[in-house]
This record gives sequence, structure tokens and C-alpha cells, in this order.
Amino acid sequence: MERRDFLKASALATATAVAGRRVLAQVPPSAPGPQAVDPALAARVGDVTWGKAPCRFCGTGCHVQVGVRGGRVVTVAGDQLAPVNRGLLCVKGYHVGLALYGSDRLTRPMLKRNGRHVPISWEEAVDIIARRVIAKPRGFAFYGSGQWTIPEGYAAQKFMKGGLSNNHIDPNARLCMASAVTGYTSTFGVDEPYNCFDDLEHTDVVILWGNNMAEMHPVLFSRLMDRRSRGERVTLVDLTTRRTRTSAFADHVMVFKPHGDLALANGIAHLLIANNTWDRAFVERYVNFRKDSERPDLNGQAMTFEEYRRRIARYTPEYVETLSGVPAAEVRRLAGFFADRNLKVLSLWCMGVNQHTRGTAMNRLIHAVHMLSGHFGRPGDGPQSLTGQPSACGTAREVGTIAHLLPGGLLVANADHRHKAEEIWNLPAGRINATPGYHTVQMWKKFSTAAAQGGDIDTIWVQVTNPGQSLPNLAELFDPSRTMADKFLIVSDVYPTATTRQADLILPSAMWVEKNGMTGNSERRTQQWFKMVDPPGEARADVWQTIAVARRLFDLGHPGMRDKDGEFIFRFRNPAGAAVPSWEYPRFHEVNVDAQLFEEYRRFSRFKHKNLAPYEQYVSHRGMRWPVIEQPDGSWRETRYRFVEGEDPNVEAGKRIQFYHSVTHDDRASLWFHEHENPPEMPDAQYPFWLCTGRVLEHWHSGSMTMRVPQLRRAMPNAYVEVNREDAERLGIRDGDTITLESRRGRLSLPAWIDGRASPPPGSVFVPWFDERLLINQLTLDAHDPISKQPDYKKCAVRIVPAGTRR
Amino acid sequence: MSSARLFHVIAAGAVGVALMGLATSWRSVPTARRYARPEPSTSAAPLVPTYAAERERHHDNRLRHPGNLRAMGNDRPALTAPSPVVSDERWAAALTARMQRRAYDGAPPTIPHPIRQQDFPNCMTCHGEGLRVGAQVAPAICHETHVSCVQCHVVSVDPIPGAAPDGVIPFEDNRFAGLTPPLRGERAWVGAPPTIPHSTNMRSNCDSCHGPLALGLRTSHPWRQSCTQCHAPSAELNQRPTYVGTPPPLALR
Repeated sequence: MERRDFLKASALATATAVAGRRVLAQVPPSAPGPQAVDPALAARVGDVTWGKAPCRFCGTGCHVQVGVRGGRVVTVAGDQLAPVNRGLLCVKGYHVGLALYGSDRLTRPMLKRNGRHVPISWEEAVDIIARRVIAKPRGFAFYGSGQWTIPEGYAAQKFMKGGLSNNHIDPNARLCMASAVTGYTSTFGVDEPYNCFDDLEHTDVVILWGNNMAEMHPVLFSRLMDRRSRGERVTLVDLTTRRTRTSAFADHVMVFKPHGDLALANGIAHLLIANNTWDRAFVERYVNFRKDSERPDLNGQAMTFEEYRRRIARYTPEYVETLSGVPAAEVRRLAGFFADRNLKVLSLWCMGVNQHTRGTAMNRLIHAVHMLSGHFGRPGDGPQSLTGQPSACGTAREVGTIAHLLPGGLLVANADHRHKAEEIWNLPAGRINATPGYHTVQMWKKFSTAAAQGGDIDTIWVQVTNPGQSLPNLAELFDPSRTMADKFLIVSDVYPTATTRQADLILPSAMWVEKNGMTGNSERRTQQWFKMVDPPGEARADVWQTIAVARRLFDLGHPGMRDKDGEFIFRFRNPAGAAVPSWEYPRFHEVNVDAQLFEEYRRFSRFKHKNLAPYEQYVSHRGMRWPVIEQPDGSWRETRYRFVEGEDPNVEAGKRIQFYHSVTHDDRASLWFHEHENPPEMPDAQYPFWLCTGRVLEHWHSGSMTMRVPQLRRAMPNAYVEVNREDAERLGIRDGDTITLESRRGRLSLPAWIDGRASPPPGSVFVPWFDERLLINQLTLDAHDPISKQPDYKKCAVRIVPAGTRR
Repeated sequence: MSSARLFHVIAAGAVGVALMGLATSWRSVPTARRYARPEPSTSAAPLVPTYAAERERHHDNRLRHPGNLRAMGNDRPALTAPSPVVSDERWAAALTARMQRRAYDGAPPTIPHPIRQQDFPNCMTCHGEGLRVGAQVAPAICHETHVSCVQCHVVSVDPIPGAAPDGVIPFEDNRFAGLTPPLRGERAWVGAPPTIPHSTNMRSNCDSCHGPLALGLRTSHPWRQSCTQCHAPSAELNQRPTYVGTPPPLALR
């Protein structure tokens, strides 16, 4: 119990002169609202049932304590025992309980007939989906999510790849983390950070590469910044394209031009070589140099150190200044942190690096500067990609709900991997299709193209995401499909969204603690929770929906729904060993479907040393970081740092650092070189401004949940466009004026906010994308990274048309 | 009567009518009111900025309260001043007022005043030790220091200038019914110190709600510093497991 603040306050009070009696301050006038405190509603000891769950929102994976009374969530508290957040949450986490109770929850399946949504039964809805699959199996696609629970993603994965032999399953994580995935796999041979959040307590210098951590990973940001109030020195370097709340905390803010990050990374490497402060011992022992092939791909080709030295030579601080806009002295300062081997330097990044047409390259370059300078392997010292969604790691990347992957990091194109999967799934040989399916941009482009013009996707089932708002260049990728009669859109969601409003079939779904679940956060921590309340109306868990459709196909005779022995591919047993038909909804809660799916999925996790523990371990822990290895005494030990001897049990003795999935099969990582390149669309005379998009603290993604929470909605009620003050004065734009932004793809009118939540530099504007009424993705560009296929939401060209209206 | 005289008579009459009209209307014209020039030291009203300054003026709450911060910090009841026990009605009213800003008891309160949205949050200037600001009180922070205040506390009034777009996503009727605070702690017998009926997680500074600047929740003995010497918290409400194996018997019978 903290007493020092109290003592300090009262000591101050007693020290002041007594000036006579004072009238107590009045209670401030309160807005008309809820009734006076009702004693019957007050908390009593033993009244509320508490359960643990990870927060529904971001990739930090804070743990919350959820208080339930009378079948409803009535309170939320930060979980004191959780290592990630230690009792602290952010404003979204504190209000996550309210996300379940918006008044317009979807409660009934709805089918679009004659332009209107009419309620139908679940039996009819499941039958409709099954018949569409049978009618055109190759034209069916599944668009999933980094907000899928692990069992949900696994069921969809097995259904598509192990059942329908169809690899057209891709997650919305393609739009957020794909470049991080390709960066990791092409550098270390295997995906996901080797390090963990423990770095936050040990580091000396934090380099943020284009991410607004104060708003986007607030609890992790607090773990860093609260160290300052304990007297520790944490240097924060904000590499950014605009000044944000994060900049206010930073010791050094370096504003760079779009794609200037490529130049900055090369500038650091150049100075390390030129000043001979690179870590020769680390490089000679642990690293191979690599560069792109003729056409950029995941593997590239080998490169000598001499060639690397030659090609990095032109990235002098002065040249980097011309490319990035960051002054040469600041480039030297940045490189100076890396040159100092006594400092622990932690690089953190998120969408600024990933949503980038050279995102794979940029990820590789950050890994490269850390390995070149030897800032790697110690707690607090290394590169760590931050994940945005709560289970992009746990579900999309690890379960492999991506067009070219199988669970556990296996590849559909690899015959041995397919054989392993067919063995675990007990499938006939050859069931799994070897050709990767369509990635997200491709999938939606095909869906929005007429069949006669080669648009061979005619049905997409969307779960737990909102592509009608989140896809780039909506006019190209989403809108045309809604005008074509033979293109059928199925959406499983919890609230009406930009996607459900245009869907052909809407399936009401359970959310968060209305169902069992598991997620995997940004630091490889798999977390679990139990169902605590019932979903409203006829809403049902997404995992049930997938299994029910699979069963309907089985009943209609689809051979893919049978394994090698003719049994249904989804089998569930009760503790006595008897089969349970979990696809019949009244019997769905008889057994823990999550646990049984997870135990089957777990078997994949050992292939690439991503070992997962048994389900019960996650029940009794606030998550565990894989690989989790059983100890001789029966306990399970998690791994904080992979590839590091003493931390990672897979590392052979004496190796110190061993990249045991090395691309070059010699226990070495790949240190990549990439030239700076310009973005595909840059401002010109016609469209003279950069448009950047992103999020704000209060709203999660497309706002479908958070816009229905009054406290969050009031704090950030609508989207706006950030305009630089000088640009505004030059164009005669006043704070609050409605202005119109126009790109080559669309136009949108928004209120201008000058020096509001953030300040872009001259020649640049920013629009947040949480507002369903102001779809900024009508303007964005669908150009993508050639290797990861991830689109770039952070830079395209627009012009401003002032409309002059003022509130 | 000659035309000249007729003219004089009519002219006189017209002038007379005009004068009469003037006299009557004079009385009914409201005299211009004169406003007293505000005294900077006593008035809380802000000085009107010039048009040129208007565009530059940020929403800044500090502009409303002239006077120096140190003097304001001293403007609080003495710790040792007599402090009557607060009535149940006043206590309940204060709790109701608190709940206007909280989604549930224990939620971070929303900020009832505008803030600078981008700068380093200087909340501790007023909320570090608590402050009386005119008729309002800025309560002292009740939990340990976290430097990023606005990660949890958001404003309750629309901060964005300009017209909001059309289209309604219903939110005011979110049907969440959050836990409300308990009224009073239980006492073992009449006169016993009440137990703490709420969680003390994120509530380590009792002074914030119960101290001399308290709004209706003021303790009757603010000069005592070591609250938990007498007032027992609840392990269950603080999510603390307290025993291993069989729980100790709690019934007195």
C-alpha cells in the first residue's frame, strides 16, 4: 500500500498557515443521467464472480479480471498477477466490458432478399453456405482475422486446407503483419520475435520506427516510461513522419519523409562500417549477408561483405539527409546509439514499417542494423516487432491461416510438410493442395471482378473483421462485388458494420467472454479464457459456425469432410470417451471444443520449435511464451529469448546464439541489404499532399465495438483530417473547416483539426480510419509489397479542396 | 387666417407632436447598461481574446483561472480543522456525482475539462497534490504515478472542432450496467471503524477522495495518516488469495 504520496500531501497541508474556516468545495453540477446510487446494485463481498481473460483489443495482450453478476459483465479490473500489464490497462481495456452491450448487437441470421435483410434460421443459413461451396468449391474463399481465437482459426484452417483442398484462406493480418512475417522468416528462417516484453525493463535506448506507441501499445509504453518516475534513465528516440503524443515523451524526435526509414537504416549501417564500430565478432560468427535476386522474393541470394561495404558506402549522413529529410547531425546521433556497445538498444516498430510497399525490406533492415552492431541477444538489446491485433501471432501466423501456410509454420508447397499435416489430420495422401491460394488483395480483387473477366472467387466468408472499411482502395477491391449478382458475401460479426450492411448473409456471433477462447500476443504468449456470459439472442460462437457448415457438407456427401477412415474431420469426445455431436448447437457446450481442437493443433507446434503446452497449463497461467518445454519435474517452462543459449533449450551447448532454422542451414541469420526506393505514388503538381492513415487511442480498428462505448465515443466522436498549421494558413483553412480530400481513387470531406491529436509536417495530412461514416480507404492505394503482399496505408498522394464551411 | 400664420401653427403643432413623441419615447428607450470591468483577482471570467489571438488560442483550461498556482495550492481546509461526519444523504449524493464520470466503480474517470491533446500531459500540476480551482476541486491522484495519464483518462466532451458527420451509430443506449460503489463499509459494532467496502487497487492515496479537499466523502478525522491501521481492506475485492487449503471459519456462531 503506497503511503508516501499520502504523507507528502498531508505534510504539505499541515505546513500551510491556517487561514480560518473554509467552506468545502461544492459538488460540481452533474449532467442529468443515471439514478442515485441504489444500495441493491452496490458490490458486496462474494457477489461478483471473477474470471481472467486477455483483453479483446490489441496485441499487447493485457490480462483483465472480468467481474460477472447476474449473467452480465459488471466490472473489469487490470489483472495484478499478469506479467504483461501488472494491473494496468488502457482506456479501451478498462471499457472492454461495455463492448458487449451496444444496443444493436446482431442476434439473428439475416439473408438479403430483394435488397433487404430478412431473418432466417440457423439451419437455413448453414445450408445456404454449404450449397454454395458444393456449387463452386474452387470459387469459395475464407477471409479470416488476427482477432480470431486460436481454435476458431484452426477450425477454419482444417476445414479449408484439410477438408476442401482449398488454400483460399487469408487473414486480415495480411494487411498488418505480413511484412513482419517475411522479414522474420527471411532473416531467421522462422517467424515471430525471438525476444519478449522483458526487454522493456532492461533497455537503455528505445528506437521507435514509425509507430505511435503511446496511443497504440499504451500499456507497454507505460512500462517503459514509468521507469522514469522510478529514477531510471530511458532514452526514447521517435523516428516518425509526424509529431504525435509519443513525440511528447521522446528525447529525440526525427521527422522523416515517407520511405526515409529505408535511408535511415542504411545510414546507420554506413556509419557503423565507416567508423569501424560494427561488431565484427558477431557478424563473423552469426551472420551471412544477403541481397535481392533479380525479382524480389523471400530467399534472395548470397552477398559478400565486400559487396555490402561497397553498396552501403553511398549512404553518407548527407545523402541520407536528402533522402529522408532528417538532418545529417541527427543521423549521426542515431547511429551513435548503435555504435555504443555499452548501451542496450531496443528497436520497436509496427504499422509504419509493415504497411509499406517495401515492408519486407524495411523489416530486414532493422534486423540488419541490430546484428551488424551486435545489439542482439541480451535482454533489452535487440529488434522486436510489435503486433497490432490480439491474435495475429497466435492464430494467423502460428495456426497458419494464410494462403501458403499450414499450422506450425509448415508450407503447403513443401511435400514433406503436407505429408506431416495429412498424418496429423488422418487424411488420405494428396488431400492438401500444393498451390498457395489467393492473398488478401488478390482474393478481393477476384471477388470484385466479373467471372467472365477471370474473377473466379464468387463466395467469401468473412469472420471477425470488417473489410468493407479496412481494405485499401475500396472502389477497386470491395465495392464492385456488391453490384454483381453472382458474388455472395457471408459475414460473421457482432455489430452492424460497413461490411454487414452490404453482405448477402449475416451470421450473428458471440464475442470475447461469450465463448471460450485462446489468443497469442505479440511476445509469443498464448493466453486462455473461459466463457463467462451467454451471447445475446441467437448469436453463436464462430467456431461452431464453421464446424456446423463442415457437418452439413458431410451430410450432403462432400468427400473432403471425411478423413482417411471415412470419419468426420471434426470429432469431439466427452470424458467417458463417447462421441459428442458438437455441431448440434444444444450440445455445443457439453464439452470444451476449444480444448480438443487445441490439443490436436498442438501437435503441429513442435515442428518448428514453437512448442505449445497442454491446454490446462494455459488455464492456470496468465499465458506462457512458446516454446514451452516440459521439465523433469512435470512443470512447464516458457522461453523468454529464442536462439540464445541458456534461455532457449533448443540451443546446443557452447553455441551461445544459434539460429537453428537458418535459411542457409548453417545456424546463421541473414543480414540483408536493400537500396532506398521511392514509393509508387508520390505527391506531384496535381496531388501535392501525402496522405497517411492510422488509428487513435480510443478506437480499436474500424470502431465497430469502441464507437458503441459512450466514454470512448465522446472522447473521439468522429474522424478528421490533420493539416499542418503552415499549410492551413496558406490555403485559408481554419480549425474545424470542412475540407475535401481527393486522390486518384476517391474523395472524402472531413473537418480539419490543426495541432490536435498529432501534427503532420508541411505537405502531409493524416486521417484516422475508425469512422464508418468517413471511409478514408476510398482514397488509399492498394499497391503492396512484392514479397509479403501487404498493402501500404501510410502514403499516397491527395489534394485538398477547401469547402469553407465552419460549424 | 393668412397662409404664413397657418404655416406657423402647423409647424408649431408638428414640432410639438414631435417633441411629445420624443418625450414619451425617451422614457421607454432603455438606457445602455454599463458593465463593470472585471477585477482580475476576483473574477473567474476569462478576458476576451482579440480576433487575431483567437485563432492561436488553444483550448487551455489554465487560462480560465488567473492567479498563481502556489497560492491556489494553499487554498484548502486545514488538516486539523473540525470535520463533521458526513450524512448518508450527502455521501450518496457525492457517490452519484462521482459515477457520472465513470463507466463502473473502479473505471478511470473521464476528464470533465478540455485538455491539450498532443503535449506531454502536465496533469500533475493540479492533480499531484490536489487543488481548489474556483468553485471546483481538482482531486489529487489516487494511485501510484503513471506518466501517461491520457492512456486511461479521456475527455468527456468532443475535442474535435468542426462539424460532425451525419449518420448515427447508436451508443448512448449501451446497455452495460456497471457496478456502483457501496454506500458505507460494514462495522462490526456501533462505533467500530468501518471496513473498506471497495477495492484498493489503484487507490493507494485515501486523501484523494476522503481528505480535506474531498467532495462529500470527507473523513471525520483527516489528521490521521495511517488509514489501514484501523480500516481493513477486503482481500476478495483486492483479488488477493488469502489462504491455502481450507478457509478459516468466518462465522462467529
